[in-house]
Amino acid sequence: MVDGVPRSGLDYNVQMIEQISVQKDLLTSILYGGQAKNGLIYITTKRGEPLKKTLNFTLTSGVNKAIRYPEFLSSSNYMTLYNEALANDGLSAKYLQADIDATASGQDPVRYPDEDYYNSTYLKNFSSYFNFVGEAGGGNEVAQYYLNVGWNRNTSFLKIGEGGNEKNDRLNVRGNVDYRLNDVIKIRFDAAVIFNILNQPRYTTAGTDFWTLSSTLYPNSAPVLIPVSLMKDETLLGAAKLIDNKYILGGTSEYQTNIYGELTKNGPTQINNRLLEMNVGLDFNLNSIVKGLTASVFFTYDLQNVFRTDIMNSYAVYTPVYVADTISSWKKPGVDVKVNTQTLSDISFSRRNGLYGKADYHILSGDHEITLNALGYFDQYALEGVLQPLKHLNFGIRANYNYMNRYIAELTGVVSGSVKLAETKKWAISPGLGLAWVVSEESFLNGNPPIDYLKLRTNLALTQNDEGLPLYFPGHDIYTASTSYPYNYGAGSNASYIISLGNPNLGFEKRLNYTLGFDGILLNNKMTIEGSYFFYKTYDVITRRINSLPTYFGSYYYENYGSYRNQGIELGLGYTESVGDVVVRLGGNFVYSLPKMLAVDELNYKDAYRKATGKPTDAMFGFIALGLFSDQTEINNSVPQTFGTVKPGDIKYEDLNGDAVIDDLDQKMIGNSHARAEYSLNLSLKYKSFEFFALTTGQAGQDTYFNNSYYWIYGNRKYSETVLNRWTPATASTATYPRLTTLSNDNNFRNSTYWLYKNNWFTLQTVQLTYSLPGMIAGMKEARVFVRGNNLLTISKIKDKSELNIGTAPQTRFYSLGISIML
Amino acid sequence: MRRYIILFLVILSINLVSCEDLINPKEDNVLSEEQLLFSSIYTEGLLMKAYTALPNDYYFETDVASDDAVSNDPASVYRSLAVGNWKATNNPISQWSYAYENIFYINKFLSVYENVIWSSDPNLTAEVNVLRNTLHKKRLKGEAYGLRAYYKWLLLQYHSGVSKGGQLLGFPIIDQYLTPDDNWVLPRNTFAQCVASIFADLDVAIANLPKQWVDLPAGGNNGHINATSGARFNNRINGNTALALKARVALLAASPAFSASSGVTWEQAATIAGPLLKDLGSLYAKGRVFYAEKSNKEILWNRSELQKRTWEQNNFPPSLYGYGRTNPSQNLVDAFGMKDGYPIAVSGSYDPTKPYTDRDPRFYDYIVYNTSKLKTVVINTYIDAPSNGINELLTSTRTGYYLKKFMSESVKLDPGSSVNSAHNYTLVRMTELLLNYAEAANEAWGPADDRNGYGFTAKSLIADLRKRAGIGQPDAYLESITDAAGLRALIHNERRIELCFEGFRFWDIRRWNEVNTMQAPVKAAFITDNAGIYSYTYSNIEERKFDANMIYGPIPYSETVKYNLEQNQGW
Repeated sequence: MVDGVPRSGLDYNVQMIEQISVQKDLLTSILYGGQAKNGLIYITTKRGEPLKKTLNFTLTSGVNKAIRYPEFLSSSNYMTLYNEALANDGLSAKYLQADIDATASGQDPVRYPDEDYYNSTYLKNFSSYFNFVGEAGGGNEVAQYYLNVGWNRNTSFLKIGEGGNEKNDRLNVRGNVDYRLNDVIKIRFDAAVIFNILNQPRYTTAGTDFWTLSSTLYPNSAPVLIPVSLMKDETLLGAAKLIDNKYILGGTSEYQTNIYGELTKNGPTQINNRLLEMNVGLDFNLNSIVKGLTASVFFTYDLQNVFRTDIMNSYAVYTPVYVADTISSWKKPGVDVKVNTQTLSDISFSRRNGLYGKADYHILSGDHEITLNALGYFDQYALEGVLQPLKHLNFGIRANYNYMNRYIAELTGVVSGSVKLAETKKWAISPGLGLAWVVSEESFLNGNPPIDYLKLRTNLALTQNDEGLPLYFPGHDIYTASTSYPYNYGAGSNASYIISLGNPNLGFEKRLNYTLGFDGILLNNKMTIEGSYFFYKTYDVITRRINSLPTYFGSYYYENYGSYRNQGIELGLGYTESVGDVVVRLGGNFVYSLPKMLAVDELNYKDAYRKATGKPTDAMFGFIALGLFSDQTEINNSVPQTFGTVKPGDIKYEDLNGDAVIDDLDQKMIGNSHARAEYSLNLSLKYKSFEFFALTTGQAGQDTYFNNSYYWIYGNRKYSETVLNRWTPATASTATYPRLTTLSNDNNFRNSTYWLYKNNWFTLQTVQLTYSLPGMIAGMKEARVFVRGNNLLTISKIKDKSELNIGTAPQTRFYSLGISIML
Repeated sequence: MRRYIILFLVILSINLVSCEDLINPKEDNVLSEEQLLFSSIYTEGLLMKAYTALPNDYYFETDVASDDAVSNDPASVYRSLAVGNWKATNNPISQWSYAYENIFYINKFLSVYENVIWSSDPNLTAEVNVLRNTLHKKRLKGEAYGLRAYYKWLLLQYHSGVSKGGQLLGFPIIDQYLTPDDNWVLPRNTFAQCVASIFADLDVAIANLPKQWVDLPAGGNNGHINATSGARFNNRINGNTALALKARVALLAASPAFSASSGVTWEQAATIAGPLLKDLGSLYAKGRVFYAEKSNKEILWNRSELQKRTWEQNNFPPSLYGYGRTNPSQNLVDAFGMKDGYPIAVSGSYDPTKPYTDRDPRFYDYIVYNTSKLKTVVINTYIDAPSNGINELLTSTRTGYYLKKFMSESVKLDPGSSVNSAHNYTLVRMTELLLNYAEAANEAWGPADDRNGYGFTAKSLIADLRKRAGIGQPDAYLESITDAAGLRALIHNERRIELCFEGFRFWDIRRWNEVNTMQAPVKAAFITDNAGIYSYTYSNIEERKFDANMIYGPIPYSETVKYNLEQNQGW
């Protein structure tokens, strides 16, 4: 939520933010309706202050270094192992030993290619980052202004052609003006414009890029670059588009994609994302009517436009045809095309407008303090091409009573309307109650030195929201047109109509929240401590009970059925100490949570271990792997596995239900996909003009599969170094990977403990050293220089796997240097 | 001061005024039931939904899991099914949810169509509108029952079987529109009850539909009949189609795997098929390649044509830019006899060094073999032949053959200059009806017995079929067969060849109880080229891992745990 309007926080730079608060306090967040059911991050942006002129510039420059790249096998290794896989499947070898040897020798890389894409031909050592922000603010008692201009650029690791030009630029301009019309009314106006421009190479096949291609193109399918001296055919040579005047692109009709060609000869793509945000509001100071009463009203309008332009060039590749040992002819799949016009595509528009009204009343009379807030808002989000805009309408009231700053009680009530539900179910009330006791104000604790402040708090709230509803449910059966059936050889056609079954009882999803906790300040304001126990239960989740109702109406009938809960504890600690000239600040946070699924649509399995109900909501179901079969005798003596023919070297599973067959029912919960414990530690040291800051984060209790195309290798996937440890009759005792295969092998490649790992890690997230220079030039108030590193170190047993990205840009360590000047 | 109060209150009230309307969705074209039934076109849309769900493309799903073909796609679920992955929990050919969903729509249609006004043309008199209304309803009733019977047949073929309790069961018959509030806990009906239910539905269809969709000559009420059931309804189910479907279901019920308790005998099956066959007359001369035309005498029910090239994209050889997915097996190739009508094992004219010369003319129509031409391009499938050679590329054949049947040679797949062509998907055709009758009549009465006086016998029909196929006349091999067992083997083989790749083979070997054929491995032709002289080696390339109980398909596991639905034995 930004200044009271729901927006995406991703479009802001840090400098324009005055304050961020994370509202886990349910009673505040539910005032904002169902969208805030998981809590609220409230951002207040900077505004000009009267008689305080500010002018700041910040420049940051940094580099990213890739942590690790995938390692795929060389051509000769791949060819040898692929032959082994074929032999395992009972098929004849594809590659002749003579060809494998010729490839291994590397003597003729055009005829026997061995291509690797993770080297300096294609990739730079560093990708760069650059950020500039300038802000200015000021004004007088009547009018204030603030302006923030920023530019941010990221480049990629690609080196050649359009890859070298790959970059993401973000420009934003934000301004606001406050104008006090008179003692009662103040006008606020905010406007922001954000442009996001992404330049990248154009890839022939949608959804591919350098990272996906480099993890799927075989090393031996075709040479990337062929020296032009090998082409003796004059006509072809004349028509060819040369690379550096020295090479032509290599490829075959089956493997026509050439990464060098994709990056240098395919044309560029540019994706533009433009966002405009505007608020206009009035703040009313109504103290003259009723003391303590203020109100405000504002109107927002956001507009976003995204589109893509491509220059659709293309390239031809050349295949040399060998007769004996010489090139007799060439084949030329593809065409060289150079286009001068841009093609526009992927255009989308969206618009959001909203109207907000707020009234606050505050009165302090002796020991009694009463605060009343009333909030009403309506907003609407329309996406071009989607008929129904998303609408929200909420009215909320909060009453807070504070007695002697010692006993606090709060009551909230929110009425929400849903655009998606039937008439009779459209409105819902979400109540909340909160109580707090500032124990430190009590006589028995007051003045007690170790405890400066201690508050105990609890709250209970029921929120109702319709965010999870995928469709509109008017409560009765509805029919919509689907495709047509053409008949009479196309001369006639009638549309078909699809039913969606109505459920007149379908209502909001509900969530019951309860927290109990304390906040404390101890040891003469040196230590802060907070902790709480939280519990929440979500129920009446909209579900289709496809696994309980017969198939034909299960997929049309929605009910309020699902429920799940989560509970846990949160702890936060902070400690500040001065040791001589050094100020030390330590902080830490810890969260532990236990989720549980209470009701979910699933098959009525006979065995409890197979059911998801009663297990954590993030339970991962899979097979228990007992190892690899060592020989046919072992297979014959084991329980039959029903996932296809099993051979020595395949994974052996455990029969959990004792029915003498391994099938889908022999799965149980083998892990959970979210962390149970998450923690962070931070340290800040301040000495004279130097400040040092370090932040570490960590988690425990998460399990993860490594089952993408790098680890599960079968069929036509590219062979990575993980297969070097595969099972063969000779290496049976030390193998860590099943036998190779060229088929799909449903037996081995399914989720089981064989592919499961514990993902506990501890990372040094940020380290920053800042030096403040005193004002040296006239007018310059302060200057700061800083050096920062991000993601510097990870301690984890599986970091060689978890730090590796396949098919996407690599994970990086980030080092940056910056300077900030305040004038 | 007062001005500001008023201003404030005005602004606050803007928030509250007509808040009901603010939170209503926009008007859209979603209909309530009342609105749907108000228009006949919308109501018919419920029936149309069951029509649009009909298949429109050949993917040869069950054919690549039979001994007729393999798929060269390692990710193909049908290939996986054939090598041991066919399970109740994972059945890629399951028709259960597909068929029941469409039966659900047809039942809804049948529950509402009676009260809808089907004809209300202001340009016609009231009496004419009433007449047309009645005629429309009659036709729609026939179509709905006929289409429902089609979906029930899918359930029967793919899911019926001997249950764990030992009874031959079908599927739960659902003939009314059920909602989640009704009692939907229905047990499986017996096979015989299901067959009777399908027959009953088809009888209603036959009684209410014209035999064919043709326009009658002008005069009397014919104009109204044409408007309500004339040629404009082609590609929808008609009387002949319904009767042909009845013959198909009867044949299934009379087959050895089901006849024990189906209540249908071979004689009954023959008596159902015979009259329609007599009515249709002689075979269409160009029926071998019936798919090349959008409509002809051979096709009883097909879909409207679509301009596309998907079938060719999937099955053309790699040198023609296709994916070569469906590869006919050596087993199927060996089933094609010689031009002189004799099987290759018996014929004196079969030359193992030149196995593709002088074969049954249907072989040349349906199969692309080594050195044959497709689109004037010579396709070589010998070992190491560039692109098209066996196992050469990921998209090359695994058996040495590519599919030619159903492929249109006017399609071009070249990237950048592709050309579509019209394709019609055929659901019911006359040759199948002929083979159904021949099989039933032969089993019931023998090869040369015209018990009911239709004017043909099993043997005479097979003779006509082989003559149309181009087998050299006189057909000495057929003449030499005089007993039912011999003709049965020939009928089974003719059926395999004629109806190849139309989804029949997989289920035919099962209803004949031929466990050995079901489990027979698939063979391929490995051809070596020695400067134009080809030598042939045949070896197994894919197993067919089916247990004996897989004569019958499974009930989906998920359905058996929703309530106590009995599963078939062995699944």
